[in-house]
Amino acid sequence: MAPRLEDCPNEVIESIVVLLDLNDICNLRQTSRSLATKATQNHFKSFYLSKHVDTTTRSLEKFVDATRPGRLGCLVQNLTIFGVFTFPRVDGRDLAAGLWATGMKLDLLNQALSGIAAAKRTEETISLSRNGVDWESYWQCVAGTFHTAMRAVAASGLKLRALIVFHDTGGQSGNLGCDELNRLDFQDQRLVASLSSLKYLALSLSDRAITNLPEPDRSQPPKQEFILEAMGKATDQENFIGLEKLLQLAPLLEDLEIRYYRLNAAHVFLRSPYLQHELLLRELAQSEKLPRLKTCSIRGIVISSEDLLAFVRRTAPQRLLLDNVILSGGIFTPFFDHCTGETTGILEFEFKELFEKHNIVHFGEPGQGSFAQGLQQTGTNSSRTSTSLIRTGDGVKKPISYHYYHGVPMDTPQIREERRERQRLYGPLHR
Amino acid sequence: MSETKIQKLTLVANDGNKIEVDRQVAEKSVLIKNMLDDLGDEQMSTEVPIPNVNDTVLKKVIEWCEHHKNDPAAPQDDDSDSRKKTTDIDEWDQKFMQVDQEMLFEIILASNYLDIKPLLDVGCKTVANMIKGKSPEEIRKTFNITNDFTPEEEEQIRRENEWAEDR
Repeated sequence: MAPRLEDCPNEVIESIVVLLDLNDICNLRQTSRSLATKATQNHFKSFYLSKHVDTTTRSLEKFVDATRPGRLGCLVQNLTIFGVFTFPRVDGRDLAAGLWATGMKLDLLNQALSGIAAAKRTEETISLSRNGVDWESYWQCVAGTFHTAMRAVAASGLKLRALIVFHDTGGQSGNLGCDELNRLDFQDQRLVASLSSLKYLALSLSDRAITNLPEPDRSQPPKQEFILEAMGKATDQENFIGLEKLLQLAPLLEDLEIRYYRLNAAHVFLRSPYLQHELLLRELAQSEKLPRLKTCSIRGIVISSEDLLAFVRRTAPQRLLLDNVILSGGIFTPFFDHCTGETTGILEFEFKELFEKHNIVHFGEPGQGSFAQGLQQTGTNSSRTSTSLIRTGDGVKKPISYHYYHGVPMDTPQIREERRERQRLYGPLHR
Repeated sequence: MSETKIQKLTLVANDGNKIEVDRQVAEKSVLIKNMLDDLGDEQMSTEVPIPNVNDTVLKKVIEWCEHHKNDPAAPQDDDSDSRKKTTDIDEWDQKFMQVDQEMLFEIILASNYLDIKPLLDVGCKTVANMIKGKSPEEIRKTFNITNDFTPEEEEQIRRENEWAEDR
C-alpha cells in the first residue's frame, strides 16, 4: 500500500510540525485522529508550557476547561495570573470586593490549578500581574489577585518552584502593599506545603496604602489626630512581619528579588521621609530563620547601614545586587568592608545608585552608571568615577573606595527621562 | 592486516535488485556509514541489504546522494534554528521533489530509515510547504485524509488549539 502522510512515523511528523507556524499545526491537528495525535508532540506541547490567565470569569472558565483531566492545559509550567478590574469607576471598589468575596473566581482558579496539580507533581512557576483600569481599584486589584491566587495555589496542592508577585523588569506589573503579605494564612498547612519547594521568589512591594485619610489641606498644618493615625498605620508591625513569615516558609529558597516602591501616600502626615520605608527589611535583618541565598537582588529599598549589613550576613548570598538603595542612617563602609572581606562568601556583586546621607555614592573607578553623566563634574578626576560598581571573581575582595559629588545635576531630556523612570520604578508617589 | 579500503558498495533493494555506488555516496546514509565504521572494512561485506526500500525509491535516493556527495556534513545539532525557521528548498532539490505523493512519502520514509537527514529535511520541507496556509479541509483534500473525528472530538481539538494559541 502506498505510504501517506498519516503513515509517517511520529518523528517524521514532528520534523514537519517544527517547520510550521502554530496556526498551520492547529489546522493539521484538525484533519484526523492519527494526525492530531502525531502532531501533538514536544513542539506543539511547548505552546502550553507558559500561559497568561486573567481574572475575568470568561478567562478563568476557559482555563478550567483547558486543565480538565487529560487536557493539554495541564502541561503549564509557568503561569502568569493577571488581576483585571473592569468594573465601573463609581462603585468599583464595592462591586469588586463583593465579587472577590463570593469566591467564584477563587473556585475557578482553584479548579484549574487542581487540574494541573492532579496531572503531575512537578513544580510550577506562578507569576502575578495586574491590569488595573483606574487608581481607585488599583490596590484592591493587586491585593485581590494576590490573595485569590495564593488561596487557589494552597487549595490545589501545587508545589511551587517559583513565585513572582507583580515583579517584572519594566515595573509594569504592579506593587503589592507590604501589609498584604501578613494577611496570608500562614497556619494553612497546604500553603506551607506549596511553598516548601520554592526556589525563586520575586516580590514587587510597596508601602501600605493608607487611603482613608482626608485630602491634605496645604493652607494649614495637619491635625494631630490624622498624624497619629497615619503614623500608626505606617509603622504598624503587621505591615512588615509578613515578609519574614513568608521567607520562613521557603527554606529551600535560593534566589530572592525584592523591589520596593515608596508610596508616600500619607507623607503630609508622616514627618520622617523614611519612617515607614526602612522598617520592611528591619524585621528581616533581625530574623534568625532566613534561608541562605545564592542570589539576592534588592531594589528601591530604604534601610539603615546596620540592618543592611545584618540582612546580608544572615542570608549570605553568593551574588548580590543593590539598585537604588537609600541608607536611612549610617554609612556604607562597614557593609562594603563585609562584602570585600577575606571571609566573604560573595562571588559577584553589583551596586548601583546607592544613596548615603542624601548623596549618591560615586565609586572611585569607572563603571556603567548613567546617573553620573548627569552631574556637572567639578573634580579633575571625575571622569574615572561611576555610580555603579560591578565586581566578580578575584576583584570582589578589592577594597571599595567611594565619595560624593557636590556638583549640580544637569538638566537634559535624557536626565529627566532617567529621573522619571526611577520614580516610576521606585517612587515616591505623592497623592 | 589488510590495508584495502572498500571503495564501492552494492546496495540490495528489497526486491533483490542491486545497485553499485561509490562509498562516498553510500556514506550519505548515516545507517550505512555507522555500519562501515562498526564492522570495519575487513568484516564488511560489499553487499548491503536495504530491506525496507524498493529498487525505484532506492535509485531515487541514490540520485540525491550522488548530487549532494560533496556537500559539507550537516551541523551536529539536529534542531538547529536555521532548519526550523525556513522551508526554503534549493532549486535542484525542488525539481528532485517534483514527484507524486506516493514517491514523496517513499523518499521521506527511506531517508528516515537510512538516516539521511538532509534528504529527510528536504522531504519534510516539501510536505510543510504543502500544508502551509491551508484549512483543515484543504489539507485533507491535498493528502487524501479521511476525517474520522466525532463532533465531540473535533470540538475538543478546536478548544485545545485555541488554548495553545492563547498567550
